[in-house]
Amino acid sequence: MDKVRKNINKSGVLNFFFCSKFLFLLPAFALITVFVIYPLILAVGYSFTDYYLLKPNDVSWIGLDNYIEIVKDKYARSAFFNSAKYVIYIVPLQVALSLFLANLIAKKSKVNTFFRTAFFSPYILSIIVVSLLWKNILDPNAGIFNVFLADLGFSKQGFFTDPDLALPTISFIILWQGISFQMLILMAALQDIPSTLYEAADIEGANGWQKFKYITLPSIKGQLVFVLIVVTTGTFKIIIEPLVLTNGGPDGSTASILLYMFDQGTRYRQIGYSSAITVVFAFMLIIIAAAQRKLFKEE
Amino acid sequence: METFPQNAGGGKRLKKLCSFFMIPALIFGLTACTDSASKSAVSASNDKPKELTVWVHVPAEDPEGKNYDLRAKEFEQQHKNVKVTVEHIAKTGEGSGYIDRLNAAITTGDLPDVITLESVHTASYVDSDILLPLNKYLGKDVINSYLDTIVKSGSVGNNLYALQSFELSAPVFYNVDLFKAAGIEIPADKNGNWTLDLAWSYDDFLENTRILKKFMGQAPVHMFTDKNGWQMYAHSPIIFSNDAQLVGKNGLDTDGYLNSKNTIEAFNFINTLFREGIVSPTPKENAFATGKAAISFEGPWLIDALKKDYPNLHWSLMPYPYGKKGHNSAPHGTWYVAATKHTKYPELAAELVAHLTNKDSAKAMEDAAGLIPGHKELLASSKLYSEYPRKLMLDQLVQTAHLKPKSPIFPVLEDVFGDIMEGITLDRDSVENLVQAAVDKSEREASRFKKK
Repeated sequence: MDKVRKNINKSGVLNFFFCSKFLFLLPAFALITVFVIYPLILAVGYSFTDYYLLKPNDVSWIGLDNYIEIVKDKYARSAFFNSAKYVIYIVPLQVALSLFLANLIAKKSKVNTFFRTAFFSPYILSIIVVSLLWKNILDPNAGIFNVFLADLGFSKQGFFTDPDLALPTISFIILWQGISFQMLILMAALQDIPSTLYEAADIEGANGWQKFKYITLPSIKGQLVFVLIVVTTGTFKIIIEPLVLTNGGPDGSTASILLYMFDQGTRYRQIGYSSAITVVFAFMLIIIAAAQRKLFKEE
Repeated sequence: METFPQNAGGGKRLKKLCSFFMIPALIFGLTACTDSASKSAVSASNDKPKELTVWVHVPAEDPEGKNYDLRAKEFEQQHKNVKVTVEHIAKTGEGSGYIDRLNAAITTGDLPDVITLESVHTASYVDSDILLPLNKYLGKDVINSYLDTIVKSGSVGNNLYALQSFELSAPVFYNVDLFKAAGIEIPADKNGNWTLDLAWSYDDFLENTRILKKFMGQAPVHMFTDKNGWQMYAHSPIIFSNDAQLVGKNGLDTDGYLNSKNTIEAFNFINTLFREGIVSPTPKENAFATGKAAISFEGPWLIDALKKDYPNLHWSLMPYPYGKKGHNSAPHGTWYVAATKHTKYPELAAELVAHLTNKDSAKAMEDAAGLIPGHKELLASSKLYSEYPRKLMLDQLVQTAHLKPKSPIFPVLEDVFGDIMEGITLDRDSVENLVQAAVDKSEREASRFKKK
C-alpha cells in the first residue's frame, strides 16, 4: 500500500488509475458494475417504491411500506423460515459428509480415482435434470423408491406432497448433488497437509481421532470456513429445486426466500416489493457471512 | 521494483498508451449508452418498407408457429412496401423465455408491433395501457366473424384488444365400457349422443361415481392435482357452474365472492370427491388411457393420443358436471394475438392481427392440431367438430364457456385457486378455512392496486 501511495503522489491520482495495471481491470470492473452493482443499486431504489412491472412510468415513492409489509406478510415470514430450515438440514450434513468423503478418497490410488469420479458426477448434472430425476425416483405411485417400500411392506410416501416430508426431501436432493464440490475442495486441502505431521503423531502414539482433531482440522480450517460460508450462502439462495419439484408447495412448506421473491417479481409483477425482499435477503446474507468469519477467526 | 515509468520519454509513451486505451473505452461508452429509440432516426422516406415485428411464444416448428410465419408472408405479399418479421421466443414455463422478454420490453418501452399473450392477462395489459384497441381499426364485419367467446375474452370494457383464430376447451373423458360394466346408464339423446343438456348435476356425478368406485375398487375419477395454471383452467368451471364467482366486477374484490355461499358449496363438492376416494390425491400417470380411471378431466390433446396409442379403448366425452341449473360452465381460453400501442403503424398492426387470426389460420390450425375453429362461418363446415363426441366440446364452448376473471391480480387468483385445490387434495384444513386464507392473500395483493 505504501508503494501505491508513493506512486499516486508521484504521478497523480488520475494518471495512476488510467496509466497503470488498473486499466486492465476495467473490463471486469465494467461487467461487475453493469450486472451486479448497478442492479443492486436499482433494487435498493425500487424497494422504496410501488413499482408494478406493467406500469414502469407510474412509480411512486412509498418509503418503508414494502419493508413493513415483509414483516406483516406471513408468506414472506414462512419463506424466510423455510430457508433457515434448509440451512439447518443441509449445511452441517454437507460440510461433515464432504469432509468424511474427502478423507476417504484423499489418498491417491486407482480405486480412489474411480470413487472421486463417481462422487463428483452428480455435480456436473444440471440442477433441473437432477430435480426431475429424483422426482421420478420418488414418485408416489410408480417411483422405484416407493415400489421398493411397498415390497417391504411399508406404505408409499408422498415425498413431495406431504408438507412434513417435502422440505427434508428437497434438502436431501440438494445435499446429494452439492456434496461433491465441497468434497473436492476439502480433498485438495487434505492433500496439502504434510505427512510428516501424521508420522510424528504416530510416533507420539496418537489415535485416529486425535490426529483428526489436532492435525487435520486445524490444517484445513481456512478451507473449512470457506466451504461453510459458501454452502450456507448457497443454501440460502436455493430456488430451482423447490420451483421444479414442488413450486413452493405443498402449502408453501418448501418455498424459499428467493422463490417467494421470484413469484412476487415475475408472476405478480410487484417489482417494488420483490426488491425489498431482495435487499433484506442480501443484508441477511452479509450479516451471516460476516458472523461466520468472525466466529471462526476468533476460535 | 520500479512499477511506473518515470523518465520524460517514458512519460510521452505512456500518454500515448493511455490515449490508445481511452479511445475505445469512450467509443464503447457512447455506443452502449445510445438510446434504442434512435431507430426512430431511420429515414421516414417513402421508399423504406414499413417494418412490423411480431413476437410469438411458440417455436417455428410448432403448427401455430408455422401458421404465423405463413400468414406473415401472405401479409407482405398483400401489402406493398411492408415487411413483417416474426420472432419465435419459446415459452419455457413461468417467468421464462417469452414472458421474460415481454416483461423486459415493457420496462424499457421496446415492445414490438404485435405480440401473443395469454387471454387471461389481457385485462392487466389493458390496465397498463400497453395494447391497441383493435375495434378502432377493424370493421364490425371482421370482428363479428369471430366466435363470441373469442371477442369477449379479448375485450375489456367496450374495446377489443386481442383475437385468435382458434379456441381451446378441455373436455371430460369417460370410459364407455367401464360405465356399462358398472351398470351406469349413459345419458343419450335420440341419436345416442350425450349432449350438453343431459349434463350431470353435482348429485348425479356423485351418485354415479360412487357406483363406479364400488365396482372398480379404486378412485374412478382422474384429476391432475399439480398446483399450476391447470387447476384454474380445468377445474374452475366446476365452481362457476354453481353460480359462483371468484372475484367481483372490478377484478379486485374477492371478499364476498371467493368466499360466497355458492363458491364454498362448489369447493365442498370437490372436497367430497376427494374425501370419499372418488378422486385420488396421487393420480396415476395415464390412468384413463390404461383403464384405471373411468372419468378424466384432461386436455383435448388426449384425443389424438388415445386414437394413436390406445385404439382399443372405448372412450367418449361427457359434459362438465354443473351445480345449479342454467349455469353449466366449460373451460376455455388460450394465447391470443394483440397489437401494442408502441407500433408506429396502428392501422397496419391491427390489420396484421386480423390476418394472423383469419379464417385460413383457423382452418390450418384445425387441420394441423385439431383445434376448434375460431370463426363462426367455419363451425358448420368443420369436419372434426360436426360429429360427436367432439361436437360436445364445441357445444359446451359456444354455449357455456365461462370467461376467466378479467383482473390485474389474475396470477394471484390462479395461485390461490391452486392453494385451495391443493389444500383439498391433501385434506389440510376445512374448505372454509382454505377459502378464507385464499381471500386474505388475494385481498392483500389487490390492496396494492386499490391504493393507486
